[in-house]
Amino acid sequence: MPTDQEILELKQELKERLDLVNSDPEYEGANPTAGDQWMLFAIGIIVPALLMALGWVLYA
Amino acid sequence: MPDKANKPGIDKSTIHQAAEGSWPVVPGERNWGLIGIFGVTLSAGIAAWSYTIGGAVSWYLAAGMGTLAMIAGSLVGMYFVTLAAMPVSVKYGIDTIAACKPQYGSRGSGFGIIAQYLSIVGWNCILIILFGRATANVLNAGGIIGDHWVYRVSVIVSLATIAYVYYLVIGGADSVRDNSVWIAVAVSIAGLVVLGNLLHQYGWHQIAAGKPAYASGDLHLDYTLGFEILVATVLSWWPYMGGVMRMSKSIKQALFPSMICLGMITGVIGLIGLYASLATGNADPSISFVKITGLWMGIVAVVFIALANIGTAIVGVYATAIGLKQIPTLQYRLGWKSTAAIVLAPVAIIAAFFPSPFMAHILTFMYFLGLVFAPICGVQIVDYYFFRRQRLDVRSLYDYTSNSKYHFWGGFNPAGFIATAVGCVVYYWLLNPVTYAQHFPFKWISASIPTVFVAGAVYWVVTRLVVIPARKGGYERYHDAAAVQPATSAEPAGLGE
Repeated sequence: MPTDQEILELKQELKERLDLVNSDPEYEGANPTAGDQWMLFAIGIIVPALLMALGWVLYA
Repeated sequence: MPDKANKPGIDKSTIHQAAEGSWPVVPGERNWGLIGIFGVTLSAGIAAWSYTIGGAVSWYLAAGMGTLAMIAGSLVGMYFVTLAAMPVSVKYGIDTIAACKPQYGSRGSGFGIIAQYLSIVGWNCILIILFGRATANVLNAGGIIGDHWVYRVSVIVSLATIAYVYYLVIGGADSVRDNSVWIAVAVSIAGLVVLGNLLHQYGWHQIAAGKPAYASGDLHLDYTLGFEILVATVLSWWPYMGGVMRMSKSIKQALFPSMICLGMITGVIGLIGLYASLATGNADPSISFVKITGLWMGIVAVVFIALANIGTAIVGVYATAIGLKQIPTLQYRLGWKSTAAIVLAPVAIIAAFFPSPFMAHILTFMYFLGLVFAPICGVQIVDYYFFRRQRLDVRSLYDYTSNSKYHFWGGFNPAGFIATAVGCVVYYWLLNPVTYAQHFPFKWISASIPTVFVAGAVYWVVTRLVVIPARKGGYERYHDAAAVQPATSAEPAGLGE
């Protein structure tokens, strides 16, 4: 278990890390593009809807 | 890209702590390349719980419709998890629990920790118990142990596996990545061997002719039940998402591993469990696999299950341990080894003392996953995309004082909890996880999908009507708009004077 001194050091290190995060222009990655969102929607919603419809048509 | 590890003031031990702990990971440390992410997600996705999921689907659906319902359900479930949890983790290098603080509050995120902890404990129980049983059944089939030793051996093997997983996990993030790559390769090859043996022994016609054991007689309802099992279970990837994806370099790099290697692969591997169950009439893969393969191929199957389960378990324990370190007390008072032990201890207790009762209620566990994680996804999607416009204040994520933008009221955001509670009630109404009773319109819209939407809508309403007017939660652009509004409306009056 860390000592109080080590905890203080850890908190200081976290502060330094957050300072680094806030000052680093490269830190924030890009948001998903419209293309990413459409790709996700196609794979996650459209394809499953087609599969379910196909299953119903073939087997029901 | 500059090497942040070499910057003054950020020494190696700090980097190590941050990578293994809960702190945000900066770009220079996100060193899991495409192969690493694929390896980690694939080895996590290819797990023996998929056999259990497939076995559960075989209660309602035959092979043809079951195949399509499983793949469709796995993709839909993963869509909501990916939309809710992946972009924020990749963008800010944070794990899932940190990412849910803007919705539940700096202290309320403990709810996410509990959900994560319980779900991964549950899944790891399934993984470990299945492996123990499969090993004991193979040894029994080979005449190495008698019937009366099967239970004892299964428990001993389960506990030994837990010890090995613990050993791997305490190696940290590098250990997870390094072990996952070779596990993924071996698991993929072994999986094909087992599937080939299944088709060779029984043939597709016999598998396709297998009858579901508990079909209701209403094919539409059974189709939705099979679909829902996959959606609900795949939603439980939510806790894993941040711990893995925060090591990814970009959203493009993470999207396909998330959807395919975690999501769809759960359905695809589950097909082996579906087919095995329909062919043998036994939904327990630890029994059906030995029936299918015989002794020697059964040993291969056990090796396959071991590789798959260990790979998944170490990723799960790693992600949960990171989540637990979001609790301030654990973050500073507990070492990595102790945190990993907290994750594995309940698994060891259940595997040792309650394996049979636990495995008898697997479907209840699966539906509860949907009941809990579907509302969480709905809340997170609405907050991150509609209210925060994909921007968080990272400093506030690690600030537990009232200065944090995510402090709300005493560290809790009532909007998140009310919306989640309403979502749980909606799910419970549509599909009771305990009795499996369902109500209209479950047959038409399932349970998890409407729960995502209802929880998100309730969150939107409560946030607009209560949280934003109270100037809580760091919704600055709404506050700014409110501050500007009176001045704008007063201006004509001033001009008039």
